[in-house]
Amino acid sequence: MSNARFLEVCGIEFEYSPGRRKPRYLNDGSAFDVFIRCRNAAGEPCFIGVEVKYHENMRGRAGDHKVRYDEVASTMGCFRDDRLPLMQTPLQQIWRDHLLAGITRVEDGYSDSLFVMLYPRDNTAVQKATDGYRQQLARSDSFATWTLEDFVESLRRFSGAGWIDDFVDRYLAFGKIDDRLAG
Amino acid sequence: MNYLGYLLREVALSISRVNRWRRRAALVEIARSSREVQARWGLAYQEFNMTLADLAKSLNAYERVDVSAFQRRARVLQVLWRQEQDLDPAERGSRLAAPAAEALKNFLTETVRDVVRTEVMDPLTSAGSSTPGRASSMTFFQVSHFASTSSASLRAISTSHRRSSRI
Repeated sequence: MSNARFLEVCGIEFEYSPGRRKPRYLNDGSAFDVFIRCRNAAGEPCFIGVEVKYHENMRGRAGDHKVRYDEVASTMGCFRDDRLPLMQTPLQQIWRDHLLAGITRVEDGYSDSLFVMLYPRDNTAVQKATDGYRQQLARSDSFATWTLEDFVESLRRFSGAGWIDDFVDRYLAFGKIDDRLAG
Repeated sequence: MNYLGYLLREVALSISRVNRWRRRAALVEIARSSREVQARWGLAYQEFNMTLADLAKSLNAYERVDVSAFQRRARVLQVLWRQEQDLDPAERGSRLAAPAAEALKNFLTETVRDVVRTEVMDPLTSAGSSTPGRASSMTFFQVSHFASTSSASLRAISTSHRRSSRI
């Protein structure tokens, strides 16, 4: 999924934040749904922070803006000058997680990092939000979108574990509904 | 009218009365059980061009908070999964009844359930990766949220595969 940018997984954490409400990070409660510690081809420590969306419509109210977000955004240097859209729904929640990835890389000394939005292909609300988010980026090498369908196909290339089929059957088998509707 | 005509008319009326009685008896039978009514309506829906909203209603999974077709499809899919797993519903078709939820039946594998028990439900071990508040909300989720969640999805994807692999 990363075109061999990250090669070896060293560990996986869930609901992970390097420091909730700590001023050296974002000073808020942001966390990654999944945090993948890994290494690149040079053996250097890297990570992938993942935010997972399934049925969300991205309409939640934006949280309060913090000066710290602007500080981290300037440090990352990958955003366009007009950051107002990033402070509003639906982009702010994506922005905060991306900022968390950026400041974690700086503060914790990672050589590389990627923030990923992972969602079902048919969730057009998330797709539109991520499309809009990309337009706010001057550089996009720290941000990626993966669909759950593509992710599952990648998993299948490396594993025949039964839980992958169970996962698809539960979350992605929308054909069952089409069959019902067709009668 | 000759006798034969009179006889035919009486036979026709009798058949009509019998049919009316049968229809009435059928309606009484339907009304006897709301579950049966729902089932019959469900069958009726399938005979016509059923919409997604119709299907959601027939499964007791029509929620106003679902503002997009995808959200409705996602919820309906969870009902179908719950039915296939033979798990009882809560007050809504897309939610698990308390016994199944408390047994962590919402999660896909026993490996995932073990992780949830040790890393989310146990307040001592959950401190590293989740705040106590998060742990509480996850416990609540087990009981009442509709049977899907983003972070639960990822748990299902990842927890049983911590070995190294190319991403």
